[in-house]
Amino acid sequence: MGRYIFRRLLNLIPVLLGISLIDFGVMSFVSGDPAEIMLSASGIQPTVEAVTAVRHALGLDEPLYLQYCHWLWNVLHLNLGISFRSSLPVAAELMQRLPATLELTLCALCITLLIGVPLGILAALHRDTLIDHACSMLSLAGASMPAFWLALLLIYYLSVRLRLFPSMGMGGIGHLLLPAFTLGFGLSSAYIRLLRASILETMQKQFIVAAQAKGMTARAIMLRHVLKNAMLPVVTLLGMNFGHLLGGSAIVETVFSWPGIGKFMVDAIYSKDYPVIQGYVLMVAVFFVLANLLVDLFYALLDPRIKLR
Amino acid sequence: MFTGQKHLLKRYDLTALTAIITIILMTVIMAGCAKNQASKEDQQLVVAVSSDVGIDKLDAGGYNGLIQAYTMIYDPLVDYGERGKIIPSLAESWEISSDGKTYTFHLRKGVKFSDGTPFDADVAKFSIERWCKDPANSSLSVSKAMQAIDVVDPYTLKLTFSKKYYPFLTELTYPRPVRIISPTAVEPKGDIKGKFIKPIGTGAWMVESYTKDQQAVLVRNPNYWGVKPKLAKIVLKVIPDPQSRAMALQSGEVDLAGSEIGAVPTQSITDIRKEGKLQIYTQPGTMSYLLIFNYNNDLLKDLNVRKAINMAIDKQSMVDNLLGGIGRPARGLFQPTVPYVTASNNKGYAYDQAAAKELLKDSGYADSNGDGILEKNGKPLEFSLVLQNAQYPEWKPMCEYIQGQLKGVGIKLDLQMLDQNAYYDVLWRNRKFDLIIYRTYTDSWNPHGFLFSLFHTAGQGSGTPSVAWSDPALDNAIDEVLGTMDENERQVQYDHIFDMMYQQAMCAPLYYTDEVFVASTKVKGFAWGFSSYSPVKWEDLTISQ
Repeated sequence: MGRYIFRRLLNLIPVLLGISLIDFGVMSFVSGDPAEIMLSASGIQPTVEAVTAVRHALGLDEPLYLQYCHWLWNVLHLNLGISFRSSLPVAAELMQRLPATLELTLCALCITLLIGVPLGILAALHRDTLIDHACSMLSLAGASMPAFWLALLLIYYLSVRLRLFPSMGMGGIGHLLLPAFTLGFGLSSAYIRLLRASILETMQKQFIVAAQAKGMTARAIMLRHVLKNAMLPVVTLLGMNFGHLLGGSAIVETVFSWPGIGKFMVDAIYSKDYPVIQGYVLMVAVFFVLANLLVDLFYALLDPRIKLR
Repeated sequence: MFTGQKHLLKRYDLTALTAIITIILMTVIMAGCAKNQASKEDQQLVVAVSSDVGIDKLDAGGYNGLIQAYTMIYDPLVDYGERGKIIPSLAESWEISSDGKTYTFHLRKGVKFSDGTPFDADVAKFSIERWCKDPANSSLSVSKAMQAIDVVDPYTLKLTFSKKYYPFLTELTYPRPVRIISPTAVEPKGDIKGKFIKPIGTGAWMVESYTKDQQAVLVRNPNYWGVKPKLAKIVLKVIPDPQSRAMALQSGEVDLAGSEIGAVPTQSITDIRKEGKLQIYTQPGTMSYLLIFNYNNDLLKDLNVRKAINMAIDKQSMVDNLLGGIGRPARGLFQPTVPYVTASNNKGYAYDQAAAKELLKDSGYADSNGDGILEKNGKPLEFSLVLQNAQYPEWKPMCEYIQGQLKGVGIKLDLQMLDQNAYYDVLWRNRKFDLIIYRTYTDSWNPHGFLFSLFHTAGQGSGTPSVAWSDPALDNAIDEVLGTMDENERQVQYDHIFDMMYQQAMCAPLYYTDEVFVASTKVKGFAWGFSSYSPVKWEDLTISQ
């Protein structure tokens, strides 16, 4: 087990190297000069002199491969560099915003499960009835509704009209619910469908018949046999969503003025803040790999047939 | 085939139902908590701002953070008054030598920074030396041309420049990097190369607390030398999305939003006006939208074509139908709110499609193949029009409208929508446009800064082609006015420049923007500031319960 985890973590190194290289290459093709963007964004007229000075200060006057090598050298020394825009260390900038995103992610995933799991079970048990169709409709709506639209709708009715929730910002749990629901509702649609299909499939299995023949109660069968098996694909999806959400959701964060990492990232991309983009990509890659690793470990826990080696 | 299904079903219906009810219950309870939190915020004014205030990097000599926060915390030597009139601030009075190169400032006595540090000429010198001569500030003449900073006595400061240039004082009013910071704001204390630690100024406000990407709380500076603000506290709340700012106003979480500090979308303003529950304040801004012509394009070298484009656009209808009646159709390049723009020198071409067609006909254009587009020597009258809609969403409908209007006189426009960075590449660097929509600078950068930067061949630095126009006669006129120290003479020279621009139809001015603020009915004493950098007279505001 320990060796397995170690090997998986070792795999991170080529993954991160490859990703950062691709990312660096792609960014260099995108139009816009970071020095110039930085100057204009600060309200400074980007004269040739000013741009040259800033390019030099940021090390952008070096050839691209050298810039990458420098960056890599620093990363090997656990230094993600300094943000072009804020002149603050990238690691600090990311870490400052990560807790907000983490909070939102966890709450959103809870809401996803709270909606997705009961409705998935309900739909499966009431297969092809009105309830099933209603769940289908709901999941279709959740999947096709743009997040910003749902967000504005929620703010308009629940904050502006009814004044039940604050419309923006981070604070008490009241601030958290609307953005988390916006994210969670959209995601839950996949879980409803997935769990429904998965439960129906498991119910056909021989071991369920065996369990019934054994005289187990329906409740015990559902909890111990059906759900446990049906949850496997859900856990996979959860892992993927977790990694994805930790990357931040620019739209939901912007609409709700949530001080997370998504909005910060979009701004960094617009201003070609290379060090921040690179640092972010590395961070998200690590999240994805770790989330997948967790999923695999959890698999082994749920399904004794799976052995990790 | 699954016999226990019915039995199973009932139990799990119950579980699912319980779960759903729990969610709803929790939601309602928590909503109650949220409501309770709001009530204690009544003693302060909450202002929505579009981006992080950046207090941790709000160095008076730098360019980071919310620009409007600089003018609240830091004072300049001289300030920007109504329509660009230079008014006293930390300098009570000043003299300019007869050669226009030496400025002597008599500083205000008894001024203290918010932390109690006294302000004097040495402090002013320290503050100026921090940004002066930095190549990043090369677009500021006050930085580039500064030759000496002399402390004559504790309250007299002399600045000597290498050239005569009338906007030196205007540049000293800018929100950044020229404002005065305390020597205690850097570490080691008083070191001009020292590292910025916290924003300490002499301004009316000082920082109480700051949460990155969320809010900054400013309180009255007890040491402020001027009229003390009536409000105890201003909370600058970060709300990046314009629509969300409008809704935060409507839900009462924010008391004030608008202008450049946190614009409210046009559509929302129309709705808010209809609802009538909030106050709306409007005044003419200092920005204009315009079409820039590529002076290298052979077809656009023809004056008649440039005039025809100007005449073919119904700007009034654009304001009424596309922009919700906010703002005004442009005449000359600059709004009448800009210094040196007068009723007589602000000339533009009136909407007249028949006259436009006539001009094109005079230049030899005719629709020979009946496709509705004019041609000359077999070449169609066709241009690209480059735009972006990330920063100015209204540019897209405006450009589509212009496309339709120009088609009416036989000119074909191909719209090229680019992302923000690609757009600026086209504008500043590769000039791959025939027409491009842009906007003038605002406030203290007008008219001299915008004219020089876009219409002067040296505006983008030596070796870089100018952006909007290339003509030695205009260069000379701009150089001359910049070196003229007499106000009346300058007016005559600006009259001449604006007339040249009109006669030559050097660009197509489209639209004059408005500044709009929306406030809750609790906000009293609202008065406009003199620039969008200090858009409101914060010190006059009060809030009623």
